[in-house]
Amino acid sequence: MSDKWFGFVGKILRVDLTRGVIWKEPMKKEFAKKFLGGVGYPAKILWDELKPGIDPLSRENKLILATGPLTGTLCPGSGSFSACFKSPLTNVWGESRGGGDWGPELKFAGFDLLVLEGKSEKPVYVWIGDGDAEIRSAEHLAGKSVPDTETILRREVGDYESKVVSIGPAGEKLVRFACIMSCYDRAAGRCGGGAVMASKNLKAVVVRGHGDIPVAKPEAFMEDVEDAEKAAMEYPDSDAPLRDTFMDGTMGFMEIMDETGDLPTKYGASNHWGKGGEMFDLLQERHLIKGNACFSCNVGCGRYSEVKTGKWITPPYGGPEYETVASFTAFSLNEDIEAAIRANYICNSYGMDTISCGHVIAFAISCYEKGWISDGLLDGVKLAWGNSDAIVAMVEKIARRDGFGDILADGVSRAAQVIGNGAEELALHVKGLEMPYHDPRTAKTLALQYGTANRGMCHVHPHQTQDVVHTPEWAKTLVPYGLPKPPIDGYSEEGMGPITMIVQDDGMTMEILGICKFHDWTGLSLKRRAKILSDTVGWNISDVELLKVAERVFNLQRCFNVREGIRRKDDMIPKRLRQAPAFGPFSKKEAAIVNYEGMLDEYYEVRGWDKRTGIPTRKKLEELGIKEVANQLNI
Amino acid sequence: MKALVIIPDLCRGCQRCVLHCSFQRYETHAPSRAAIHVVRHEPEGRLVDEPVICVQCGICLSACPVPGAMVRNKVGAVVVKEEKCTGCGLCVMSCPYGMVKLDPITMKASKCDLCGGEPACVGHCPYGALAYLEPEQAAYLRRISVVGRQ
Repeated sequence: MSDKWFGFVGKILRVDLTRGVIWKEPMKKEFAKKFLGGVGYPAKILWDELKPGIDPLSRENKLILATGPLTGTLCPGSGSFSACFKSPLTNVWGESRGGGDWGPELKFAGFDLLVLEGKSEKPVYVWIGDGDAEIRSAEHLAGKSVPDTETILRREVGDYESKVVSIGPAGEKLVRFACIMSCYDRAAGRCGGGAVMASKNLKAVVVRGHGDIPVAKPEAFMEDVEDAEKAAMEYPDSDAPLRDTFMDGTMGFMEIMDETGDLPTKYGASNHWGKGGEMFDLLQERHLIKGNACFSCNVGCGRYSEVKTGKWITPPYGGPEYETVASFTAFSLNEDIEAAIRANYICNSYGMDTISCGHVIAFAISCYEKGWISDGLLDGVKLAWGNSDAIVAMVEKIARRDGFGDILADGVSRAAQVIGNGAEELALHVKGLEMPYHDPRTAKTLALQYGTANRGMCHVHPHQTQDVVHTPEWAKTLVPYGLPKPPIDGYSEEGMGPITMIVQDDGMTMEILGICKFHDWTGLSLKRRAKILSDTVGWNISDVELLKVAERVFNLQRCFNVREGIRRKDDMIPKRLRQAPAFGPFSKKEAAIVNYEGMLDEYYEVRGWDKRTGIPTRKKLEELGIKEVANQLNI
Repeated sequence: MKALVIIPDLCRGCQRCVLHCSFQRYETHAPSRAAIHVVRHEPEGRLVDEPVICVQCGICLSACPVPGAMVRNKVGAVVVKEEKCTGCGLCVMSCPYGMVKLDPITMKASKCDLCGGEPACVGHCPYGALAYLEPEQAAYLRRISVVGRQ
C-alpha cells in the first residue's frame, strides 16, 4: 500500500507551550480509517492522552484544532475546522466547529491537526506557514478585540491572505463560554474553547499555506461533486429540501420555527412567540447588507448586516444567525432586533458564545422576577423581560466579568448554584451546557438528543434530530438506514430511541468528514458523502460503513464522558421542558414529556448501553473495534 | 467571442470558483495555483467579497520579452506557452490587477485561459456571480463592477 495520502494531508503539528517546543508527527493510517478526522481522530488522541479528572483550565488540558479528509475540497461545505478539548463549562467532552476558511488553510499549510498543550508563561501566538511553525510573543495583543487581533496579525505576518483563529477579551477573562473565533465573525462557539486557549496563554494561531489537497480519483471525484452541486441547485426536483431557505440565512427559518412550536420563549416557559417572522422581515429589509459563505460553500447562509442609526448603531459585521436572534429576542421577550444585532456584535468582538450568553441573561431575568437576585448586585441594570437596555448592558458586563456579569460568565449551572433558592431547578442545561433555541416538546426526539449529546444540551452536535419531524422530505433520505417513513409524530414518545441514534450517527459522519451539517439538507446525502469520501481518499467506504465509523466515534466520546463520571442521571433533561408549555398554542397535554425515562431506556437499548448506568457495554465496544477502551474502563 | 464578467453583488465569497479553477487546470485543490481570486471582506466598513478575474486586456502580452511565450488564442484569451516561457516575471510585474503569477510548481507564468471557451468558474458558481457573455452584454456589467469598486 502506498504511503501517499489523499484528502488527508497525513501530518499532525504539535505545540507544547510550556516548553516552547514544536514537532511534527505522521498521522496514523489505522486511526484515520477507524475514526476519520474532525471530531474523530482527536477523540482518540484525547482519550489516549488526557488524564481523567483534570481541571480543563489547567496546563494538563489539550486543545486540538482539527480538519477532516474533505476539508478544503470541492465537497460542498468543506470550510470548517473542529475544536476538541475538555470543556471548562461542562467538565466533559468539549467540541465546537467554526466556519470560515481557517481549516482549509491549515491543510494547504501542510497539516490535518494542530495539537496544543501545556501553558506558555507569557501571552503568545502560533504562526504556521507552509509546513513550518513558530511561537511568537502576543503581549502587544492583550485585551484586543477579535477584529483588531486579526487585522494586526495579518499585517504583522506580512500576508493579508493569512487566516487567523483568535480569542477576544472574553476568552482572556476566562468566560466559560468564550469562543475560538475566525474570519472576524465565525465562531467555534460552544463549550468554552476560547477559555481553554486563554488558559494556555495562547491568543491566536495564524496560518498560511500554498500547498494543495490532491484526491485519489480526480475524474470520479469531479462527477460526485457535480452531482451534489446539481442536487443543491435543482430543488424541489432533488433531495436538497432546504437550500432555498438557507440562502436566506438561518434566520429564514425563524417564522416556521415559531409556528411549529420550536422557538423557546420566555426562558422556555413557552415554545411559541408569534414575532419570529417579524424579526426576519426587519433583518432582511433594514439591516441585511449581503449574504456570505464559508469556504467552498454553495449555500452561503452567512449574513452581513449593520444598524445605521439609533441607539444600537453597529458597523457592518457578520451575522446575526437564528440562534443568536432567538437568544437575544424570544428567550428574553425582547422585540428590538437592533439590540440583538448589537449584542451579536459585542459577543463577536469579545469572542463569546451568543447562545450561552443570551441564555444566562434570560435566566437572570427569570431569577430576578422571582426575587432571587437583589438590586444591590446589579449596578443599576434593570433586569426585566424585554428590556433591551439591560440585555445589551449585561452582555458587556459578562464579557468583562464586571459585577453580576462575573457570576453569569461561569455559565448557567454555576450561576444557579450561586443564586440559590430555586435557581438550580429552573436552570435549563444538560451536563452544564445551556439550552439552545429549539424546543423538544413538539419534536420529542430532540429531548433524547439534548439528553445524550456528548457535549451536553446541544441541538446540532451530532445532529438536529427534531428535523425528522419538521423536515419530512429530508427524513425520507434516512429511511434506508432504518428510520420509519415520515411523517413522524412529533408528540410521540415511542420509537424515538432508534430515530435519535440514526440521526445522531448521520450527523456525526459530517463532523468526522469536516463538512458543515447544513449540507445534509442541501444535497449531500449520506450516499453522496460516502462516495465523495471514497473517491477522495481512495479507500472504498460504503454509506453503511461510514455510519459505523460515526457510531464508533460517538461511543468513544461517550466513553470519554463515562471516564469523567457521566452516568444515566446526567442524561436527564430539565423538568421545565418535560412539562407542557405554560402558555401559547402548544400549551396542551400531549406536549408534556411524560415518559422520558422510558425514552432513555429505548435509546440505551438500541445504542447497546447498560440501561442502569448509561455506560456502553463491552459487547458494543468490541463490536465497534475499540476493545481497548472497554479494557481501560474496566467494563 | 465572449468575455468573462463578474456580478459582485451576487458573490458570497465561497471560493468555489477558485477551487474549480485549480481542479480544472491541475486536477487538485490548490488555490495558490488558481487563475481567479476572491477578495474577502474586512469588517467595520470595508465590504468586499468579490471575485477578481483576468479581463484578457493583454498588458502582459505586451510586456512579455520572449517571442511566442504569450499569445492571444482563438477565444480571445491571452495564454502562456509554457515551453517558451522563461519565468522572467515581467508579465507578473505588468499586470495591474494582480492576475498573472509565476506558478509555484512550474515557475512559469500562469494566468486565466478561459478554459478554452468554457470557463469552469462560471459553470460552477452557485450564486450566479460570474458570467460568460457576448461583448455588448459584458460591457454593461463591467461598467457596473467598476463603479461598485469605488
